[in-house]
Amino acid sequence: MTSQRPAWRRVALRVALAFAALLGLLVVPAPVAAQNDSSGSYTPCESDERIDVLVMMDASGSLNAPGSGIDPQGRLRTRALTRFRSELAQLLSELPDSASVSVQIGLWRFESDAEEIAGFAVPRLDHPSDEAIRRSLGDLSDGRLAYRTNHTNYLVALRAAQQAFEQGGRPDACRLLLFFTDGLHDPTGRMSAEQAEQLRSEVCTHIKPSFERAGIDTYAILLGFGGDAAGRPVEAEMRTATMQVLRALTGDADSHLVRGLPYGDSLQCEQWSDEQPADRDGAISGIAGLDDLALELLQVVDVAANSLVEWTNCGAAVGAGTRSAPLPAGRYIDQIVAYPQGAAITGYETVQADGTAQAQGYDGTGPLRLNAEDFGDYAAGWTLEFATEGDGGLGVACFIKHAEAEQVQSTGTLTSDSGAAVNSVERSVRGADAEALNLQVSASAPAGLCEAGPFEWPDQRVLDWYCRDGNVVFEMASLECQDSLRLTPLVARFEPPHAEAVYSSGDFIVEARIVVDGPGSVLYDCFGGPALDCGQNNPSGGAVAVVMPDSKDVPREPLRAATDCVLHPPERGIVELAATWSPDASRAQMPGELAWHFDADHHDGGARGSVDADGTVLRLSGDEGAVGVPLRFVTAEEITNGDWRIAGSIDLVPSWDPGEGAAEVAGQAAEWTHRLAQQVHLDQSYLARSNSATAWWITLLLVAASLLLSYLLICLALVNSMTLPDAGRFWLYRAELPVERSPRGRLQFAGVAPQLLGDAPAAAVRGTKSRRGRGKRTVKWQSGDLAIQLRRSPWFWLPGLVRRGGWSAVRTAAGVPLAASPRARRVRRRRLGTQAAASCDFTRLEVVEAPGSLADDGAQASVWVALPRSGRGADLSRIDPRRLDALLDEAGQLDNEDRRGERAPDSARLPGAYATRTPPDADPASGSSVPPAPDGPPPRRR
Amino acid sequence: MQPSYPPVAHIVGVLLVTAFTAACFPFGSWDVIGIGGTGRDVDVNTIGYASGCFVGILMLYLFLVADNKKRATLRYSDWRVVTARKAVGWLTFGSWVFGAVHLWFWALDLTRP
Repeated sequence: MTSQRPAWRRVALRVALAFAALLGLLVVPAPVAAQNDSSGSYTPCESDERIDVLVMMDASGSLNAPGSGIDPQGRLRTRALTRFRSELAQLLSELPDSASVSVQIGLWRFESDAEEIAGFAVPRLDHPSDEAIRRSLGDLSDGRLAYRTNHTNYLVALRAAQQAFEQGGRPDACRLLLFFTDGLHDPTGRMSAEQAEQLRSEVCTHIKPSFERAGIDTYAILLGFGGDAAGRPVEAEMRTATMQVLRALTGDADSHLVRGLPYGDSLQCEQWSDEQPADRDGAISGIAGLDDLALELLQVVDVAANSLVEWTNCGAAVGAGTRSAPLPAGRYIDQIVAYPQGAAITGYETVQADGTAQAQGYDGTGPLRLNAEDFGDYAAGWTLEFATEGDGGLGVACFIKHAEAEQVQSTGTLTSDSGAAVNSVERSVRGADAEALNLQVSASAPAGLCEAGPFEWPDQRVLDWYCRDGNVVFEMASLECQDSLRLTPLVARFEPPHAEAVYSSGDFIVEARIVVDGPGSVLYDCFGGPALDCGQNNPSGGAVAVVMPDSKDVPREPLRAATDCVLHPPERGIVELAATWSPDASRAQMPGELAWHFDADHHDGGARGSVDADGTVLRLSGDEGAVGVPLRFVTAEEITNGDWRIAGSIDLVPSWDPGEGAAEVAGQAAEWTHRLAQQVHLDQSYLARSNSATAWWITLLLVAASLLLSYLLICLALVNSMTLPDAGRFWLYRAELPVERSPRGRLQFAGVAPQLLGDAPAAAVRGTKSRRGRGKRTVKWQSGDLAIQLRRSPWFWLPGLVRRGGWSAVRTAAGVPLAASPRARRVRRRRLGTQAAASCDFTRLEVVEAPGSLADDGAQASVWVALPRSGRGADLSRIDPRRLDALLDEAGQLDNEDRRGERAPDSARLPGAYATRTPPDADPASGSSVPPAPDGPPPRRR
Repeated sequence: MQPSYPPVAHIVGVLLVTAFTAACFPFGSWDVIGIGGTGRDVDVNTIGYASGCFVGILMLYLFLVADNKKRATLRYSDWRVVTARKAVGWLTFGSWVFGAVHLWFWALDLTRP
């Protein structure tokens, strides 16, 4: 099917594949890079690096020229770049969140000169854009790709690439140059031997060292390499020189395009050794070799993305496959990947340890992947063989994805060698002459354990172990008289058989764990005496007690201690257990008396046994059954309030009276019982209880003081931070507007008022500038006959009022009642007289005075508007006429009150001014009494 | 001319003080970081109280001074969802409440015998 594709599509696909494969260079982890170094592979970038990729595209006539050009329509390069872009973007989007790799890509083109088409940026579906890709191939002329010159200047292109990396790239990035060209340096269109020698000299003496210092790795991708230069010795010499410098730049002596190519007389280029893997600084690939390059680079991607490790002894060779070494059980391998090298994989065959063989064909062109479903249930010892064909002679490169080392577990049961169940105390009345007790643990065999055995179980409790019918059986060490056996899990670690075939020795270890179901321990009692079993739940084996309540403060109740000790009654007679509390002098902090006693409520009331009067002895009779009694302690009373550290131990000393008829074991029993003595350790700390009533009053007092102090601080902050409006930032507009009365009897401005107001001239405001005003408590504004006094809020006002700001007293020389907006709050009108009170915190101030009598025709009222000199608030047309009407009506009402004598007339008001209120200096034409200031505002838009 | 915006640095300062005061709760005791050694929480609660009730208000003061300077330019553009002053006010209030709670814990520790 592949052969039926159009040639240009096939080549484009390969180029795109090569590009996509380069993505692997973005994410190769460091260990893989090290591994590749040792195996001869080349890897330019570490996994967690920043990576800058620069595509330098040949747009010269040798590619674009109609008829003679290799890719005159640009389909090859367009498809390759487009696919590269989309696959790169997709790969980056699929990287796990933990990946720290960061990629940028830039696009340039060159012919006789070089030009940036798209700068470095994160690759996306729109970077580089379709237009940038098209432009990288050349300019369009009559719908065809054109070329400015027929020249291909490598020196310009390589220098431009280094400059692009250094100016547009990131200094700490891994730099990859993808150099697309036809493989022939032709800077002037007239090739000469001197140009060839100059190319060698420049590249090997200057450019190559510069690339080394800048960390630039070059991938030279030759489009249409191998043109016939027969009969043209100069062109043949130039082609040789071109390949020599590409070999020097990349260090890729293994490429078939330069294999065996002499350096000729170029001593400069010979200095660049390309014999060792460490000499590699890139690769050379022709169109024919792009598949190999793609596979090689895809392999790097795969290794990085899937955490593959090299499997060096997979044993395959071209033509006649060689069977691999025996492999560990299938469940210990996650995946096997085989990459063809100069060959094609046609199938594989597995042979299991029992001889069962299975063969599978494979017709893919890429790597062959075998997953857990293909071999997961194979037992250890199976083998694998790949079938290949081809003449590349390199065979198959194998990789394995390792499985996570697992922990296998099962639960076993404890029995005697006769198969009987075992209790925590196994008794024999034969005394010291009793036969040893043999125990067994049997469980279903954890996966892989029987396959790995037999090996010595690393546990002294286990004498021997073996597998039988899918079960594993442990023969436990025999218990002699009075011995005990703690039944913690049986654990062993083992390496699966044949693991060394795919893992380093000792790298893959499986842990097998057998949990024993049953009592925590077994005591083999030969005397029928008591037993004191402690520390079953403590991994370290010591006996501990949990002190309750587990609070921070000293509790208001006696303390209780629950131990992990169990006293087993004797078969006959009585056991007495004496308890003695011993504090640890070096650690304990005891501000009062403390004495631990057996918890009589627990033992006398709930469990069995009896506690003596002072609580220090617990008695347990053999008649009370065979079940053990957990031990509990309690303090005599509530401990005193203070800082406690209760650290110490309770000594438990048992004594056994076997009673009559036990004389034959009494002597041994006394000695044995004495050995049962135990110590129970306690460690608990308490802080003294606080006096919550006192704390409450202290808190209340301090909160009140803090409130007061905070209130003062807030007032101080609000008052000191206030900045009064700066007169220099405002214009003041004044107009005399006609007044009429609405049908409802309210005063309002006539319909032409907005237009007249819009024509009002502006005047500068004289007053304290902001720099001087800041920090002052009072600032004065003056413009014409209007005076405004701005006052900052005084201290110790209500915070709400302080927050709302100070207020401004607005008055005119005529003393006519005024109304102003925005209004000041909580300023008593009676204190103002004819003045108006406005807020200090304004960005626009509107003042309206009371009109003259409406009985007179042509009654007017003065309006002042202060607006910022610039900004959005500077527009006079945004004044709301309804607000001005409201201010007018308010001023009229004040005037009415004034007339009725409800308010004392202001002493500053002039008699008769109400009726003839036109200011003496008013300009009748404009209605303004304030001449424009020299630094007046610019002409307003109408 | 460019509009001016609320002073972000001062707002972040208020936020940090509030966050620090709240963060003092889980610390329990400076024993955690090797200071003190009293086994009690007096030290950290004292710091939490001072931070919440006083440093927070000091930060509010600094914010108001900076904010008023910007407002005086008449080109001030406040936040839309919630005004900067309201946000800082609530932050300072929260800081103060945290400080008062620290005070209660401080008093509890103080009254242990």
